[in-house]
Amino acid sequence: MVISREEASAALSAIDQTTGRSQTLRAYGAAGPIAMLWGVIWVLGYGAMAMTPDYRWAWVWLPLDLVGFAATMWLVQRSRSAAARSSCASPLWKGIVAAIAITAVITAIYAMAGPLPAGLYMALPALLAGLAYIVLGLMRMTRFIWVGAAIIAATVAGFFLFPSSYALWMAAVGGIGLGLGGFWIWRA
Amino acid sequence: MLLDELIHQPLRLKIMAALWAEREAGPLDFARLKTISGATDGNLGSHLTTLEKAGYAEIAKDFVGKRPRTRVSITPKGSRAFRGHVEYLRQVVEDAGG
Repeated sequence: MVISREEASAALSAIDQTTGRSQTLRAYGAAGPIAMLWGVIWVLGYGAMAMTPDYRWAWVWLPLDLVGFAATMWLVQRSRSAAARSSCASPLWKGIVAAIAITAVITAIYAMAGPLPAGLYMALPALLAGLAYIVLGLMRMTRFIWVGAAIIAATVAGFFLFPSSYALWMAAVGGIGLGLGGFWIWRA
Repeated sequence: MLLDELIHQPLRLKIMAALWAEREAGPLDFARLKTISGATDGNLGSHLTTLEKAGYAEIAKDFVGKRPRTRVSITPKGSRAFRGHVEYLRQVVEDAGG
């Protein structure tokens, strides 16, 4: 049996699509638990912000961020072990680099801007995280686009609609929403 | 290099591509393979049996708790056949293009 160039080309294209889909699904399986983890951290962090004076907020987030980054690294390592030399974990590392860059940018903004209004102080990390998720989604994992957009929408909505209980809003809607988004990604 | 007619069937090609892509990560869950290939249960099962009979795929069945689990992996023979088939397809495209 001999096949034409068009048939061969279509078969190669089908192989590429299948391989890409396979890698994307594996990446979802690895990225979902990380998003769920950060959902829990947001619930704890923003929940604690609602109950503590603003001068303690940095001390609320420092241990949570450290635990979050350590746990994220562990999850990435675990997914890399499972995927061995497969390239699907690569977007996850890009996500880690993005998270470190965002943390550095937020720290720089806080340092340069001086005392910010409480709402803006709370909204900035969430907005940047939402943006990072959208960028991550544009690379391959399209579900992150929806999660990122939902985070940004929830952050902006709460800022204008519930300024007096914004921290609780971010804990409930942002944190739980991120956790559910992570679950949706994981179940892909 | 020759066309591998067993692999060239559209759904089996997708199954083999998925198994090849996941070869380093271990056996692929039946449900995940179904999602990747877009096949139905019956269709996937039938093509997997064909691939298993040819020695291209290995099917392992076990239980997780009380739930049955089916996992599939590509065999060394299947890997060689898939690589050869992809090489053949590339050759056809290049020859026709040149």
